[in-house]
Amino acid sequence: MLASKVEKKTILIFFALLLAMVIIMSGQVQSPTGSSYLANAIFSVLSPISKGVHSVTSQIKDWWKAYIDLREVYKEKERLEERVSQLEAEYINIEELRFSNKRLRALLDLREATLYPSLPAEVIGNDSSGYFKSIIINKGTSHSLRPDMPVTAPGGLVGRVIRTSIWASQVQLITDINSGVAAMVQRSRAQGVVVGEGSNNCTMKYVTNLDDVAPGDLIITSGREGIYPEGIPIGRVVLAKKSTTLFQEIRVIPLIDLSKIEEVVIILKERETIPFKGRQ
Amino acid sequence: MNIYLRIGISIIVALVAQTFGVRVFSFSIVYLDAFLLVVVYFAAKEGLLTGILVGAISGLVQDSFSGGIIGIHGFAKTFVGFTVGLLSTILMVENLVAQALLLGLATLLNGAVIIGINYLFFHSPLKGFWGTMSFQCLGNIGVGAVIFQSAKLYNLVKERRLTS
Repeated sequence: MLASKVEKKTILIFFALLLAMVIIMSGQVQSPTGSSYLANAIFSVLSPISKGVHSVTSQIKDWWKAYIDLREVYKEKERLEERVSQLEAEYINIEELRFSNKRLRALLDLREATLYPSLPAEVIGNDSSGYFKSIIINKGTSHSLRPDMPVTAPGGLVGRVIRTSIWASQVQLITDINSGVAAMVQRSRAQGVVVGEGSNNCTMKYVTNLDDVAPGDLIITSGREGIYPEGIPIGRVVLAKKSTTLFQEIRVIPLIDLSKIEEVVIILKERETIPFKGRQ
Repeated sequence: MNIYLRIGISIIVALVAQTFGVRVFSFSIVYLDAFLLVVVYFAAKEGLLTGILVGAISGLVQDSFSGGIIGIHGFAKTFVGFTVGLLSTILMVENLVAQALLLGLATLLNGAVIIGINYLFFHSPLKGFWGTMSFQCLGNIGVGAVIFQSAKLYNLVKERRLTS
C-alpha cells in the first residue's frame, strides 16, 4: 500500500541523501585547520547573521539599560563618593602589599602566570542542538584564532575552539559528550582525563584505584594532550569512589557555570605536536 | 510566497532562535528543536520529497552550528522528514492531537538517531539523554502545536479572503 503512494524517485533521493550523510560523517575531509571543509563553509556563510543579531539586540539592551541606570545614578553617585574616600585609604595599603608581593615573587623566581598571549571574546550564541555543548564567540580567524586553541574564563577552563570563520568561532565546552581534557588532581598529582557527560558535569577517567583523590580536590589541566597549557583549573571533585575495575569513579563539577557564561578569554596557543616515537 | 523562499526564511529563523535566541532572552530554549519544527511542518504540509530535502538542508545547517560531527543532524532530520512525509500521505495530520503525536514521534526519532550515530562513532553514551529528549519533546509539542495551528488559521483566513 505504501509503495504505491511513494514514488520511486523519492525513495531514491531519500536513500541517496542518507548515503551522502553517512559519507560526510564517516569520511569527513580534514582541512589543514583540522576541521571539516563543509562545516567551515556553512559556518562561514551563516555566521555573519550572529553578528547582526548580536549588534541589534545589544543596542536595544544598551538603550533600556541606560534608561534604567539613569534613575539610579544620583543615589549611586553619593554612595560612590563615600566609597572613593574609603578606597583611597585602602589603596595605600594595597600598594604596599603589591610591592612586597612583587619582591617575594622575584625572590622565588616565579614565572608570570600567563605564558601565552590571550584575547577576550564575547559569547554570542549557543549550540544549535540540545544534545551537544558548544558556544559561539565573536572572534574568528581575523583575530588569529585557530582550531584547538584553549578557551578560559575568569575562574577556570571553558573548552577549545573547534571551528572558525572570519568573524566568529565555535567553542566545544568541557562538558560536551565528545570533549576530553588531560588533567590531574592538584593535591596528589594523580593523572587522568576529564570528559564531558553531556550535562553540566564532567567525569574524570583513567585514575587508578591506587591514586589519592577525595571530594573537594581541585582538578587542573596537565597539558599532556598538547592543547591546554598546564595548570588551568577545571573543576572540583564531588564524588570519588573506588570501583571493582582498575579505575576510580570520579565526578567533577566545573568551576564555572558554563550555561551562563558571557565572556571568555582565548589563549593564543597553537596545538603542540607530541613527538611520535616510530618503530625502531 | 515562493516555497524555496519560505523554506530558506524558516531555516534562518530556526537558526537564529536556536543559537542566538538563547542569548537574547534570559531563559534557555535549548530544549526546543526549532529545526525539527521546520522539517515536520514542511514534510506534513508539502509532502515526502520536500520533507526529506528540507530535512537534509536544515540538518546540515544545524550541524554547522553544533558541536557534534557534521552529518549527524543531517541524517536524523532526513529520516524524520521521510517518516513524517510518509505518515502525512496515509494519515490526516491536520488536527491538534495528530500534530502533537507527530511532533512527539519526530522528536523521539530525531533523538534516537542522533544518540545512536554518536555512540557508533565515539562510543560515548550521553548521560542526560533521556532528560534532554523528554524536555525537547514537551517543548516541541507545545511550541510546534501553537505554530502549526496559527499557520492553519492564517491559511484559512487567506483562503476566505480570496473566495469572498
